[in-house]
Amino acid sequence: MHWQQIQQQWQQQVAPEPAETSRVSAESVHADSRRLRRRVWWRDGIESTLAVLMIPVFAWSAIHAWGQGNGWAVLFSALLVAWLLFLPWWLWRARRQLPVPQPQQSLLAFLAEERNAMLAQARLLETVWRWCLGPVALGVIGFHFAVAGATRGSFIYAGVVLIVYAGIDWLNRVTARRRFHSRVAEIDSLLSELAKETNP
Amino acid sequence: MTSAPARVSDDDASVFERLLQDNHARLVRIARQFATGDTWQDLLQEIRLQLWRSLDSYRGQAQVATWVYRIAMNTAISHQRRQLPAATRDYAIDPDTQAGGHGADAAMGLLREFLATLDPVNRALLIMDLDGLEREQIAQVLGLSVNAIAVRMTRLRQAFEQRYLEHA
Repeated sequence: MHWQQIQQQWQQQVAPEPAETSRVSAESVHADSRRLRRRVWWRDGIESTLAVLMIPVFAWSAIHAWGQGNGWAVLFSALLVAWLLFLPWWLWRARRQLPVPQPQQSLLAFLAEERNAMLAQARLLETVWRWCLGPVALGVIGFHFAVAGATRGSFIYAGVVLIVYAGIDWLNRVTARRRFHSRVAEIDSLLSELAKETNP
Repeated sequence: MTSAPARVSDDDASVFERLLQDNHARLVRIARQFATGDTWQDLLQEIRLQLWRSLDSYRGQAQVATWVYRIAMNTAISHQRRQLPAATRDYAIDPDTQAGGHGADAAMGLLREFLATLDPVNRALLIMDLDGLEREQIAQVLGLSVNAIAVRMTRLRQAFEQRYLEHA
């Protein structure tokens, strides 16, 4: 069988036409696109709302500690309030700065952008200690010591917090490695293979 | 930046629906070759979404086919990477597509099976060649030189013919 015949047969294959694929309107695709976008907004909105809802709790703690003349407790409460204000803004900014691969480019250019986007997402997960867990751990442990003093219970509390947060950090690193770095390595090997075949 | 238009204008709607109509069979073939089982419909929908979101970049495109294939192939390859771990990807053969029957049916079955064993670049290349795209167009979609496309195509055809002959 000649290749041209194979091509013809390939092109003559009848596309299966399930009800929802036979007729698609621009309106329905547009609605799906907006639904996906709204889902992202909801996720970001829930994070921000939770952060904002926690602000009065720590603000009240700061005011209460101020009334009792506990300067350290005020300081750590203020740190937590500042972090709760900072986090939604930082996440919003970080997500906006993530590269978005443009599918209308050539595969080679798209793969390079996809690789950069994955590396940026992996970096976000790997630095979660710096922008999320670290400030919270410092705030809650410091506040606890400022209120309860350097008791045995305070040290146990600090140990538990640190172990839990270290676990969360480890999970984030594992996710970054499995979900992003493995795919980056795959794209890298594909890109290095294709680089030899590009136009001069 | 790729973004969906704020609202659907009549012009956008007619351009988009025409695009989908003209390319429906091609898009279905791509989705079926890059997704497993029933997930091809999800991939098809993802490709449509990307086409819609990229509609702004469609204006003024002399090569409509190149634009459609770029978006479809990039979306399909990305989808495949997200869905399947690399170790299992080579075995992503849709049971419906396995070789069987006689003559033309057997050839198509073998071809689909052969496609499923290829890496994403070769699979995309072979699908575009089967769809009748010129080598220059394939080179533009993949970002490779025309010579590289020719070399790869020769190897792929030889590999398939060898397999086909063995089966026959």
